[in-house]
Amino acid sequence: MSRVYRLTEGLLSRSLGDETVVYLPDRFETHLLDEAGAQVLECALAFQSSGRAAFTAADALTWLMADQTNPNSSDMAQGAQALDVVLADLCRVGVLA
Amino acid sequence: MSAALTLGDLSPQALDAALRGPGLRLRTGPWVFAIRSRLPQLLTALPALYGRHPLADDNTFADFHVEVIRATGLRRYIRPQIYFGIGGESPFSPLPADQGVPILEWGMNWCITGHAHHLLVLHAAVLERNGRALILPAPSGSGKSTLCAALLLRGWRLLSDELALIDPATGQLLPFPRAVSLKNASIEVIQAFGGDQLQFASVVRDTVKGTVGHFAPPPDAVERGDERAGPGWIVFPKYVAGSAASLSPMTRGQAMIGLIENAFNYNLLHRTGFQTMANLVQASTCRRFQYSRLDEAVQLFDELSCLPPGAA
Repeated sequence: MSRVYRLTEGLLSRSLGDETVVYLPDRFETHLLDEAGAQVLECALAFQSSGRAAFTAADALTWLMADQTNPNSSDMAQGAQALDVVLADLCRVGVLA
Repeated sequence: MSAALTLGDLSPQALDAALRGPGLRLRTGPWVFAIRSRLPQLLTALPALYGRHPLADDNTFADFHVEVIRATGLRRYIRPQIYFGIGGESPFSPLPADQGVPILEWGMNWCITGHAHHLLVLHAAVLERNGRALILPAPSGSGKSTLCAALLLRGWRLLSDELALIDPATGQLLPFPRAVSLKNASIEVIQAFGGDQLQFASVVRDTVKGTVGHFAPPPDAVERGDERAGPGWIVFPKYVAGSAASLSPMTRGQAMIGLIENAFNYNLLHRTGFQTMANLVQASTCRRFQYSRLDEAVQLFDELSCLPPGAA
């Protein structure tokens, strides 16, 4: 069964060019996300604002590749691998649970 | 309407009476400090450092009641010591009795960093040009104070040489013009850079920070002590012996993390701290800076000040 991810409650974020800073109020921590982390955060925020509390890696991959016409299976596989790394990193710092 | 009474207007007798009595009510930035002391060194140093600062009358509310007092007992006579006190408490260890100016200055900084939590407070020098603030955040030893002193001697307005005070409601930086502090080799460097116009009012050797010198803030900094500045430039300075002065790009994200490392109360302000910090970096041009020669540094900052506000 696929792992389900949730955006940390109360998280604040601010886009600063290619980077995004996030603040985790419960931990009193601030983290700087690179471009890939910022894209996944944007995806998670989009799910949240559409009322979807939880999502899987496959959901995120579909969202992130939505504007890519006819992605081939190789792109999808490599994208999924890269996404797993970013999701793990966002979980490690506490942006996602 | 008559001009406000300044510390320099007081006779030595009146100053002594205020310091020994209810306290000298000194206005600086948004605060009034009621200062009490019987140390002769403060009687001479305070007019030299704060002669242009306005005074409040004895009925005005004082934000901080501070005192510099002699230790009692053996420490009054053998290797005499002094304390900084606030509200009857002494937050620091005592210092040798000739360190009245440093202990008062460090104590006044402590009052703000420990209590002014309606503001975001950073360890940084702040100067102003054309209504925009130049923030120089950096730990001790980075050359921040030396650079700040050089810039104020070449026409930048001093807001503070030690503390950036940011109002979360407006994002503006508040002036807190105080005595300018330099340490060790920087004292001679800035004396040479400033020439005869610059007089150190106090130089104390063998403090915990080495030799510490103080000179008075420029008249312009005191006269415009209520005039706030908007965000302009955030520059992280570093003195590198023998290096040419150079500014290099820094992302706003890196600048924000760097500012947080130099903040006194960022986490205490919680969400407000994050929003205020993010607003500040978003509205500022962010750079790293290294230098060894002050004349080159001043020229580069003059060029930087010509960039439009918030240029990436």
